Amino acid sequence: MPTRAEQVSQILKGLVSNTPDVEGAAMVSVDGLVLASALPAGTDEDRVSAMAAALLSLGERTSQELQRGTLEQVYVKGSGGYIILMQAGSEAVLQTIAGSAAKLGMVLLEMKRAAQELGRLV
Amino acid sequence: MTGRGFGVCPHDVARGLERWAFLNTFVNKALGLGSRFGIYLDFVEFAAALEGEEFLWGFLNPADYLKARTLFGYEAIARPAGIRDVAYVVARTGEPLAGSIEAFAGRRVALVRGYLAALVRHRLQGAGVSCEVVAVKSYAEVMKTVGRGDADFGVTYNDHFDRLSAAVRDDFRVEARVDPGLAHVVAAHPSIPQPGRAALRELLLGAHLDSAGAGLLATLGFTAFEEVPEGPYRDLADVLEAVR
Repeated sequence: MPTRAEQVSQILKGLVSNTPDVEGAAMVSVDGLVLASALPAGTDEDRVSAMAAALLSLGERTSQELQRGTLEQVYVKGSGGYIILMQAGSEAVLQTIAGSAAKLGMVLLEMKRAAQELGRLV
Repeated sequence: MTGRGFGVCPHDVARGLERWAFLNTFVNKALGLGSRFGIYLDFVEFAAALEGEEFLWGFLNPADYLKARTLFGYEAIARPAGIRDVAYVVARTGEPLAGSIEAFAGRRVALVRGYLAALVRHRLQGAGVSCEVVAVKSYAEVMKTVGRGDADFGVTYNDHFDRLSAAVRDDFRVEARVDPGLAHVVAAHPSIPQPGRAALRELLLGAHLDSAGAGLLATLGFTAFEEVPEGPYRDLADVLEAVR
């Protein structure tokens, strides 16, 4: 029987390998720690997780301030692609990076499925 | 029961919130505090969170540290080495120099309610000098008020003034400085057990000794952390009481 950590890791790897143009994914706790990751080699996971936590905090504040309700996603678009954050349960966030040619609808759909599974594990 | 927040002075959040997210992650990774960095963009909501005991630990300005200590028993852990909170008294460039503290008598002084203004008011009070206070809501407003001529002097924060663009700074001069040896403080709620608070202190005071800590310090813009001396904060508590 795989451990919880192994199950989380498998879900992330599945998200990366099965979704076209998704280049990496990580599961980050709301206190800024990496729970599991399938990020490109050479990525500084600590910095990425801290930034994810900061983006989430800022997204929550902004959504609240502008009365847009509970935060669901944060989406950053750069010239090289996308970074998307999605809540995965109350204590963690799923973060995905995708290339600029990514079909966002597909990425978001797969992320939503993965986030629901991950949310049950953490 | 305290919350799990890591609270950071809104002024410092506005200067770059990702630094504080890094610090929170660094500490959580080393010590497992489980704190969550929350963003507070103004002092009113920050004060409400502090008074609501939402912070497990925080990076607090000297007055908020004293408040947290008095209300809830927060313990000072460390402070940035070599970085001081200094009150600047500024005037428009080209105006005659005040020359002495007595020259402030009857003049209009723009200030933001807080510990820096209290330090200046205490000095003036001590010299028997009375000024007309022009109360404003931010250090930016202090500069604008003095710049427009609606105040003769303004009390501002060295960190704010020193970061203004050269073009803006050149319109003002620093007439006087009040530097009682204060700095923002990393402080911890007593619900963190004493060994945890000691570990946090050791972690921060030793940050400059290894590459991971050095990376954190570079992100924060600090050279190191240092111990928090009691004297300047005890003096500030006396000043705040005297000008209340």
